[in-house]
Amino acid sequence: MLRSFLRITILGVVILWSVYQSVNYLNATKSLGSLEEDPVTIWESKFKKLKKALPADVKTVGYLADWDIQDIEYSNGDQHGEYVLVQYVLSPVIAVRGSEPEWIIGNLTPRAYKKWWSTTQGQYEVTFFKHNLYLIHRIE
Amino acid sequence: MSLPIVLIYLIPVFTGSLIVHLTWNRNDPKLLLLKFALGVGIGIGFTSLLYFMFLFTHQSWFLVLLLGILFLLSMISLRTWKPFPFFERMPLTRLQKVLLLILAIVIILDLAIFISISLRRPHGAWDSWAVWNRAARFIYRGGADWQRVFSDEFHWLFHADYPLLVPLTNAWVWDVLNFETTRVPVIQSGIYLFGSALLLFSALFVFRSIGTASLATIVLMGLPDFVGIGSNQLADTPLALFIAATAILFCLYSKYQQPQILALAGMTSALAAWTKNEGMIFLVSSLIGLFVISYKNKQAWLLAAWYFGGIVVPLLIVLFFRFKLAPSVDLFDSGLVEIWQRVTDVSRYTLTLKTFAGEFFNFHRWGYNAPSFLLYYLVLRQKDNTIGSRGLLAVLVMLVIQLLAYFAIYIITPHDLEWHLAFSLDRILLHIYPTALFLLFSVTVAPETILFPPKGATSFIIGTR
Repeated sequence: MLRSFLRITILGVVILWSVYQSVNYLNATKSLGSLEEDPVTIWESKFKKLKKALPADVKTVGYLADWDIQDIEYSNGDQHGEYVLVQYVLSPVIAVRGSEPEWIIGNLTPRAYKKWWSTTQGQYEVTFFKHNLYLIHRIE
Repeated sequence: MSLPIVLIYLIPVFTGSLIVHLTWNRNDPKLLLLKFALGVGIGIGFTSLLYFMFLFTHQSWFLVLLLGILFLLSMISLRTWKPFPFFERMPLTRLQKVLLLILAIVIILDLAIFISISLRRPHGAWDSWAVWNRAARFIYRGGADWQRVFSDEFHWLFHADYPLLVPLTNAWVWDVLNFETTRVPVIQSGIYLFGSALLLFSALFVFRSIGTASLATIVLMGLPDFVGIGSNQLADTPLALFIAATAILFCLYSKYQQPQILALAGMTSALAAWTKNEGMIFLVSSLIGLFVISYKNKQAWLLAAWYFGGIVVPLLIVLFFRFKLAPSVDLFDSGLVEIWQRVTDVSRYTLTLKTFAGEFFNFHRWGYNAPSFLLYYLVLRQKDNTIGSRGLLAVLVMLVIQLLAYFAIYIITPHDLEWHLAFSLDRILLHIYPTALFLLFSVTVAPETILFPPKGATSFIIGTR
């Protein structure tokens, strides 16, 4: 008798809990953000003009961001996230960290850009884009 | 726009179902749904392998090839077709109807969750941008240069060494459509998510009862993390599907004793290795599962031959990818001395054990936990089962090996251990979740025998064939 009761109770709890969690999670998905503002799509649109300006035969670019500039504060998580997004958006161009390649994408806050420019003046040609983005070309 | 994409995906799904049916030509209406569910993964997996080889030809008639293969398999199926009743009348008890209704409600809720996540995150989650969809873009946009997807210029964050089942599937559908859309990865992830549910349901329907199948699927699809990760275009759900498919196929062999079923198990094991690096570990688990199945079996060599017959072609392609094209796996980048230092560091074991225990006691804070599943087993366990203890033992052994291997990977990981555990453990435990549920609901009594059992219910519900 007790065993039967226990079995029925467990079955009931399992079913109710699963339905409850499904409803709960459906509500929770709203916290993922609005339907219009997906962060990746926003990044894609930010890069549209810069991608057009990049010569078609370029296969690898450098990537400079605040984490590469000395004495500039940054959030490690944000820098990693932005790097991943930049690579995703630029595909099939590979974005390697640093300024080794001829063409470089700069994703620098104004302070970081000023600091970087002060150390490298004259060696690069820079095209400015909105959202703190720069297309940097090393002058041979 | 979504309808043409769904139609394109149906080509490999039907191809896979025909592969399953032709390999295991058993005419039984009860098996139709299970064969279809197995065909989903096998078809999509094989199509991605085919596209991988096709890329080397630099041709653009992949759709023609796919339709040709589907036509050929359909013709062979028709020639070997033995008529059988498609729909057998199966009277449902009131409880079964109620459970099916609850399952339908849960599936509708999950569909709403899937749509909500896909609309808010059309590009998926972090790993989707960093790894899976990025690789798909490199292959599709790269054109003749598609092999740059394996470039060692990539930062380790982008895991250029990861297998290509998911990216190649996106790439070939874009190729057929001739344009890129986020709906392709969205629908692919939906197929694996709901395909996993269908696989569990159809397997337990064959092995146990409609009530058990409904209950297990309610529990599977009631775990928010499983639905969330399955909606985010990651490769964890497809891997979970291939692991579950292999486990189910081992049990099907135990039940029907037809060795050709093991050829399908070989295929699903290889496709697991083609999905994620953890699938390579599963390949070893699956081999040990085969050993358990074949141990002291007079037909052991025959079973092994069927298994290897199924695994050999996909595995050769996976090995070609792994050793000829892909860069080295970042987990093994460090030298033997460093790995040994990590292996002998007791604090790593403590932290990993603690995190594993935490996850087992509360699956990603959703209130599901291993102790409650253990309680479920203890209260509802059934002494005898219809699947055959050897099949279930093989599944249990595979799951334990998979878990131990995951534990070992954390011990040797060169990345920050705390970070690695925090960002991956919940996901990788989901790899075994559908299989664990299959095992649990295979060894516990059917709900029909607990609530309002009709006369003769046991003989009808449990294993009519």
